[in-house]
Amino acid sequence: MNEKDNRLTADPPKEDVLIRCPRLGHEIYFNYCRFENNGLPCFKTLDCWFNYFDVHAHLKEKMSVEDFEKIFLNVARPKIHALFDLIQKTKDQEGTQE
Amino acid sequence: MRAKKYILTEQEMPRQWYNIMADMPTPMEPPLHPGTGQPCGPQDLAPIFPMNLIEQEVSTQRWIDIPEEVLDKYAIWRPSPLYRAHYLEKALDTPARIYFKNEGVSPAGSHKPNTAIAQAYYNKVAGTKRITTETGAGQWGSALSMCCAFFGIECKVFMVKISYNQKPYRRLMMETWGANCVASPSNETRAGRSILEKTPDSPGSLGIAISEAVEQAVADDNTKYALGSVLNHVMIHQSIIGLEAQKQMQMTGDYPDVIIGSAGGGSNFAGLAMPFARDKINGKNIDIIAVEPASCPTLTRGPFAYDFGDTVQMTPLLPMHTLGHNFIPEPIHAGGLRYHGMAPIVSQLVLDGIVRAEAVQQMETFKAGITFARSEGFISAPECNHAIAMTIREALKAKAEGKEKVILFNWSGHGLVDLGAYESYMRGKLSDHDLPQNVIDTALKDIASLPKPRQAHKA
Repeated sequence: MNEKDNRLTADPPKEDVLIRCPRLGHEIYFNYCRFENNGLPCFKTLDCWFNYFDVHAHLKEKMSVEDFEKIFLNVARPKIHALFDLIQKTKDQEGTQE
Repeated sequence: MRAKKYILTEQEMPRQWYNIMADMPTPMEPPLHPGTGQPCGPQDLAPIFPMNLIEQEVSTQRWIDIPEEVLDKYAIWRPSPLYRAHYLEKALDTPARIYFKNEGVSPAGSHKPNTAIAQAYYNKVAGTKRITTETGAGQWGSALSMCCAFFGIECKVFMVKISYNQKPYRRLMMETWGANCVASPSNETRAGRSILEKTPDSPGSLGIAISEAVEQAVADDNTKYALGSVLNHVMIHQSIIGLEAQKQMQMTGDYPDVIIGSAGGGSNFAGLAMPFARDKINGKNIDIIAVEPASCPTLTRGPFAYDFGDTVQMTPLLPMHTLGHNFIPEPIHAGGLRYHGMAPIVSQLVLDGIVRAEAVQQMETFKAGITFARSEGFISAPECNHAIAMTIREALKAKAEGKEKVILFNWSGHGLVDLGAYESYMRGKLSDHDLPQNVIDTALKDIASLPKPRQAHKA
């Protein structure tokens, strides 16, 4: 952070800056979070990195509006819905294969 | 000699789990199936869970008998001891009386086997031959591996590749207990292969690992899937912690004024707190605190509105500006999009005012863990340090107020396989950042037009 103008830097930290990932349960660097979601950021990236650098500005610059909204402004659903989705997806794929 | 530990015999172990669904001030609605919009029924979960566990998932029965076979395995380490933290009290010079329930005495080192044993047992009864799951650092994967070994069930753990490489000891624990632990993405599933085709050096993610585990469960009638947090049946199994603690607190002659647990997915917190929450619902005056990281809040509110998406209100919160309110994106890969990692039961109890949520910064948690290790001896799992940090805050508050408060917290596991995190703290690699108010204000302007959801507190 720049002490003079009191603004957060928009540059992401290097891999020597680690934070504890609440999902994995161990330390992790920003670049992992940035691409964790099949090339897009983990949906918790803004929440986890907001007080290390201007992650909001950084990701808005690097991502398309559609991807940004899909990942961060999307409806947060109960986890059990993710299981329903996976069950259905697997069944659909099995059906296609048959 | 003063009493340090309060021990129950095997005969005194609770014979029933407690299900708070029977006593919720606001009854929980069944989840709606995203495909049909109808309340989900047992058949929707049947491809991945055995019916006996699905029945528990939707049960509103207050007490559920613990099968004798589960009690027999619990007895390997249960009842777990309740400790009086005399030395921590002395280190803090507090009039508070601090107790902690030691769940680190399980062979896997955490509270996770409380549900892993039950899930392995019910699967065995249902005829399951193999259980799949996903894991990050491996606390859950190792617990399930051990419990599958107890019941002669094959265990397949998809461990996120970056964790697989970073946490070799838990991987080796899983293999020691006979599990087949593979790095995810793997070549063993369609989901894994599709990722590897595009990104051969993918470090993996929990979303991919879940996809792989569920895919194998759905594809094979003899295989089921197990989850170590969030779901209702997990909270039920963990209630043994609080039920034992209630008996042990009677032995001490004290009753807790404050109950504290760290809250990640909610299972260790719920395990200790739910039986006491029942007392609170019935009129007891108890402060029940769920503690989470300030850097990544779920129950509490961080400075940015994005956090609202993960708060306790489980409805669409933020508008889709360009895509529209009703836009449902195609899954990037299942589990990759936003979902609530907190148990719905815990979230609802926060909304109902039965549970209070607090957040602590990571430096405070490690400082607390070191204070605890140097006074009580035990090295805590980093998640557990959140509970210790809040305990220290409450104990110092009692000192400032000159009150003899009784504080009980859940020591949910040891940190002997997590010493790398302590090394990062002690070598100065971790830090907290306090944001200047003008930075927060600038960021908030950017999202000022977004609707603000209802908050349980700190609105």
